[in-house]
Amino acid sequence: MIPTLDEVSEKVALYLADQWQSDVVCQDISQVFGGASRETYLLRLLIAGEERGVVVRRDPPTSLIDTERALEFGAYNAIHPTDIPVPAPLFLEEDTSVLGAPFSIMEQIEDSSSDVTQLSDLEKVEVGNQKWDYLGKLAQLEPRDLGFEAFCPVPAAGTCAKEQLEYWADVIETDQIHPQPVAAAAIRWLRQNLPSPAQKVSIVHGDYRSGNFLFRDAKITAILDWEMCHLGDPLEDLAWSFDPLWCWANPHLAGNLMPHEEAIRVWEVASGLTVHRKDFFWWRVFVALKGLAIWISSSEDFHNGEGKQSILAYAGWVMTDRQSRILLDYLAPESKQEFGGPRL
Amino acid sequence: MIPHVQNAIKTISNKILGGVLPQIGSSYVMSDTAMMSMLLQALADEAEFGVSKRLADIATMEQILNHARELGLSIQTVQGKLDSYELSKINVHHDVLTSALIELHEQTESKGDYAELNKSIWQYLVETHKRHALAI
Repeated sequence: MIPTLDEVSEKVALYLADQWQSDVVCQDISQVFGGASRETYLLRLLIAGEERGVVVRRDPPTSLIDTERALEFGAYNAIHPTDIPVPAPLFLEEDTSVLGAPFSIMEQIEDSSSDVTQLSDLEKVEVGNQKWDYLGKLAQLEPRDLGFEAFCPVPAAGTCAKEQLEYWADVIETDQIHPQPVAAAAIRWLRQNLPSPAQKVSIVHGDYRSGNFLFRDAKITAILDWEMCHLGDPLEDLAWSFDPLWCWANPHLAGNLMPHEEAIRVWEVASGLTVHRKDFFWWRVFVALKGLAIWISSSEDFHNGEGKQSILAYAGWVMTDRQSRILLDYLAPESKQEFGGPRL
Repeated sequence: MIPHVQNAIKTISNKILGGVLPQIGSSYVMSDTAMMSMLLQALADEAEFGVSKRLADIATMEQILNHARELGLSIQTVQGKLDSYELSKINVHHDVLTSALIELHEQTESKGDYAELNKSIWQYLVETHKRHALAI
């Protein structure tokens, strides 16, 4: 049972009053709509007379992405002390008696937007430079130095691509409602053309795209949505950030921000790594398959009644269609290559 | 009785967009309602064209599978035939043929002499995705 906004505001205020041993009053609450893997609420609080915004993320009965809340919270905790901007994690509550499901609470980033379409052309380049610079810096971090091995499996450089492929191939196999010939062809191609071992086993955000970071005055203020974070080949994040799904109307502008080659150059400088084009193409095909797996899974959730949110039906239908067309563009022998995959 | 299902659903969808949406106070409910309205538009098109699109797929898949059999390739026998134009029953038949096509596609990749057949499967996949592409 999903709590009402009044219930969430009242219970979170009581919870925080207990945690902080202070008077906490919720002045305003709203729910954020979108493809988030958790129910997300923005709360304006008055704490002992001082105003503060927090974000509450509550586990839903089902979501677009089936993820571990502890992993997401662990990633925020580990990344927060670095130069990569993320909201401060405050509390992870596994006890379901508070809100009927586990939840986490984070600091709210004030006066920021996630919609890059509102930026001018110059601002897009400015934000794009920061976006791929931060991603390169993330690839450069040493996961062990940040304690990632405590909550995240550490794959070998030579097997991380195959492990990711088999994980998402299994999601498709398990969740597909109809047979998926494009996904099946892509899985065969990916198995037969595995890339070189990762140059470095890095922290992979897992959903690094326009829409999942906030900015203010063309400056990135926070990178959000770490629920698919894992360790692996950093080319995975770079490829995901290029997926044409995030820039459907203009696929040659990576993430709707800047040309592919520019973004690659920024990333290579920041990461100290090289984008080998053959391997990178493998990762581009892989991320399209991973996206397809997520949309197929959301269709299944809607179809089986585990979730009835309109976003599940929308993503399951529209995104499956688009992601399949992206894979066809990459792999079909006489493709017009509208999405710039192989040409890279 | 609603004689023109596509029109009826689209009218309802437009009414939600133009009449209901502006009255909603919560931005969450507004976004959710807008998305439901867009889904209704897609469902309207599906009600009108869903059967004909699937029948076109089925005809092409049957053609490809029959050609493969003539070339001596071993394809699973497709059990049953289409005896109803109910969408759910057409879907079942479509799925059976699609599974056979996936199996055939793999065979044409591993056996060197079937490049043309392989090309025709890719062509079908491109065509069917164009046919089913959503206008939203």
